[in-house]
Amino acid sequence: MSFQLKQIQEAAKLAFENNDYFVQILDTIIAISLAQPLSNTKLQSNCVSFIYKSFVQRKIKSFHLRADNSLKLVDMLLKFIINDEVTINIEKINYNLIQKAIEIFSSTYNFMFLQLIKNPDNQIWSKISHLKEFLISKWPSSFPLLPLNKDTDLTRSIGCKIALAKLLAKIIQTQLPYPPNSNTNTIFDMIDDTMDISISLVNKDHPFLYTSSLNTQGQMLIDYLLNLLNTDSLLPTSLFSTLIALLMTLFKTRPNFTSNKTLNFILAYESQFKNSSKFESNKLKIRLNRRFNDRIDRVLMSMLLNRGFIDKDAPLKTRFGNKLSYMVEKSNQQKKRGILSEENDTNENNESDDLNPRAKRIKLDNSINIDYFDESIIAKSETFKSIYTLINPKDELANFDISAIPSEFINNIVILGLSKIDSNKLNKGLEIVSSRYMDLYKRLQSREDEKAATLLSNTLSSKNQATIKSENQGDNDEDLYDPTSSSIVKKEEKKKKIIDISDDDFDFESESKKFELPIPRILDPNEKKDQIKLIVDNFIKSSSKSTTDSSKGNNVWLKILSRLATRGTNVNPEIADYIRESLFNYFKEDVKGRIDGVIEWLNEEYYSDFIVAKKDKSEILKSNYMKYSGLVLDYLIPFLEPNDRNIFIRLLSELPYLDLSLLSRLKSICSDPVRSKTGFQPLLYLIMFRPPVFNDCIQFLVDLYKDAVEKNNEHLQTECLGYLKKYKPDLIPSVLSKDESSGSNIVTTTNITGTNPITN
Amino acid sequence: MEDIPNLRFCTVCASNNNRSMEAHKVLKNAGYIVRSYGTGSAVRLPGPSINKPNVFQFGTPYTEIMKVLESQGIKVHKNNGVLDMTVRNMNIKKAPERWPYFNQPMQKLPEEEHPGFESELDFEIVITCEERCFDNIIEDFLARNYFNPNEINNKVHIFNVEIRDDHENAQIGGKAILELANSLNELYRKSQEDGDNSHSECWEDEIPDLITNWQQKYGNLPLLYSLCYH
Repeated sequence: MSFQLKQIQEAAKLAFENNDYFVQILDTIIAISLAQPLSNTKLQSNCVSFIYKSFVQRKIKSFHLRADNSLKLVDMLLKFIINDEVTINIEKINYNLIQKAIEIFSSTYNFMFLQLIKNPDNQIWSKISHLKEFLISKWPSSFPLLPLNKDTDLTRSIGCKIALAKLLAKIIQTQLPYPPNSNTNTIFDMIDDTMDISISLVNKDHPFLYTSSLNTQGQMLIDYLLNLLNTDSLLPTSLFSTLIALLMTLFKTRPNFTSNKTLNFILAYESQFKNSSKFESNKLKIRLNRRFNDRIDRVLMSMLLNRGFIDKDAPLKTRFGNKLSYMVEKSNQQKKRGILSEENDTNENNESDDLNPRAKRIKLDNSINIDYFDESIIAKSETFKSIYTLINPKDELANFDISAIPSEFINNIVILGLSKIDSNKLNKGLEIVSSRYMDLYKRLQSREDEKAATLLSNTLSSKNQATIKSENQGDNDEDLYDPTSSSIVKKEEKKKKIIDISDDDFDFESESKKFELPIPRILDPNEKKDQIKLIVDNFIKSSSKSTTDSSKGNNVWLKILSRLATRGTNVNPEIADYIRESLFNYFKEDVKGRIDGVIEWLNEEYYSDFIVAKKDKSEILKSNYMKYSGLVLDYLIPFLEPNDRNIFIRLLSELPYLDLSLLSRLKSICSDPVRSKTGFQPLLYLIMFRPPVFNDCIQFLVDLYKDAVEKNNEHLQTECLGYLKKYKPDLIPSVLSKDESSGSNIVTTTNITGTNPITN
Repeated sequence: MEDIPNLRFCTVCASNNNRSMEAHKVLKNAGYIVRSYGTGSAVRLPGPSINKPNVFQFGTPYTEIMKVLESQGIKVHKNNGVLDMTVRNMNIKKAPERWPYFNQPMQKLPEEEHPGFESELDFEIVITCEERCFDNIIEDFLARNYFNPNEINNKVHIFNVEIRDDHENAQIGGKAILELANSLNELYRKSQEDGDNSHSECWEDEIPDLITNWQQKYGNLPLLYSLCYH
């Protein structure tokens, strides 16, 4: 048992032992109950049980303690009672909790009324009225159970029905005045439970209780009770005997409204004229039900006769006497035959059909009224089965798997069924099914709306929390994605873990609903930088992870980053540069392996600098593209090996822009006796297949040749000359003349293609 | 389930000597909290001859009754089982008690003699053993409802199991009553489970079926049933 439960139980014990603590403990327990969900059954049971014992079982003996504190219960009762059957069913709200709450309300309604006579409070009165109207509207349904059909529902949810009946009687007593001259007490005489609290105590100047509508409602409720007793349905004994007991109380307290009606009812009652539920096939059960009800009626009659209730009215007394001897005779016959004998039923039925044409007519009416056992227009659960089931869910047939039958048989059964069924009945069945669909549809929709609303409020509240104590955020798993979080990486990981673990519980519905991210908080520049760093690092981290998993898609994060640097954050060079640095550092680790990413990134840089920003020629040298292309080359070239030729060629061919300054980075590799071939081959490729850089390549060769001459590198001289001879033979004389001043201009003056270098 | 208390029972016959005491014993031995009453005006036991019954006031200790019986000669009472019955009763409680009729002087033992009950009507189930007793009790409760209209908060289920008033039938009836009590108690406890996932329904809805099944089995013990308030 949890600590809290134990505490509640101990507090309750203390309150009963020493009533001085009652008010304080009551307040605390109500607060606890209001703060907890109804689904916390154990805790709520303990809270309700304390109040039940105090107010219903009167373990708190003091009338004043109970009466004075009754209004405190209103909110709690609202919470427990105002729920529709579907919610109760889905959320599995415990039946006993609801039953006890209704009983508490019925035991305290007159107290609440008394309090409001003394201290009018319109707001509380409207809450109480709401509670009252809600419960009256549930009479005599199967609330809080989901409905089946009108007949069967009379025998279901007896506990709550009885509690409701008691409430109706209490309202009748409270809202109807006591008979004239019988009672002259005032509010100030209210000292114990025998006091008759009613509308008679209300002063004419009371702001809201001095009204005829309360009286009307009281009269209406008397009819509610008697109509149920007079209904043509055989009431279950528990309900029947409860109504009799309640009539006895009203017979005493409000004889001016009830005595005639009650006496007539008792005289007229004949269980054999009552119809059992159409779907009740157990004859013994029906027989017993009739027998029990008759017996109670008989006891009541003999009591009224023997205790002198009707002595004044001689004719009535005679009628009572006749009826009683008839009842005694009937039960003696039954006794002779034995309770199990079916003769009991046949005799009664014949009698009733012959003697009472009304019974016959009613039976016919009834059969039109109810066609199916489960006529509920609410689906019991969210399954096709519950939408289409019209028979008793406890019937074995309800569990029969029809898919086990071959389809042609089913077709025959259905066709045969359709050809024989009464079209009205079929229509009614279809109507029920369609209503269930509609109800379910509405239910799902409203649930989705609710979820969206709670999600929104959750995100808003978590956002608020975040601003208050952003440091602790990582601990809260329920938080949604929150861009303000400083521990976002941690959270992402945690979330992922949770989803992995509870895959089965994953709520697919939440996937489909409209989801909006909260509006992020405005960050100051430093925070922005920090956040960006976190994001970038995280991207790079996931990128490096996915590289090992699959070659496909491993550049997604890199693509995003490179675009972020070149387009997304170009208004903030600091952030953009950080991203570039990070990217470069990442590529640096394995340039050869990540050449795809490198090319893509540098292309992005080129696009941003040259196409979007349309930078001038003068700015080109300072551009990010030039800077990082140069850095990449510088970083790559020293580590190139002969078999990296393809990579290198690819890089040089796919870099969108090359000029002499970039090409001159190849000098080292071309001059390297071992690797010069790796340097010259891409150069050759460029000369042959990339005309826009032709001139620069030639110039580079010229420069290289000169360099080789200076360093007396004969091999290099020959190599350079070979290419020059082949691709720019007309230049050879000037190169060989070693005219430095003209040499530097050689290429530009003999521009072959005339292409704008920027678009090469 | 441990925290859910059992139903508490009250067995009733005319004299609180034979049928109600046999049922009292059987239920008590099964672990239930039980008390018992008689609804008659006095305790009537077979006397030395048919037209001379032994009549005692309710509240006369069984030991006193024993003395009177012994003084009348062992043979008569040994044959009709009254002696055995009284010895059995002495082991259960001190004296026969009268049903606490509304507005009538109590003829019962002090409440300290009945641990587990807070007052004379503090139980959930009454099982009477004769229709006359059943009627008396229902009438008493209805009278309470009339004269004490604000006292209807406590609910009592009243059953009558019709048993002939002799030693043998009392024993047969006792067994049947125990079965009825057990099935009622099981139903009740099941409905009171309050685990967070339990969705207990109303146990009273099931009582008619329970009664019918029981009656089917015990066809010669016709039942009566009612729900009363005090």
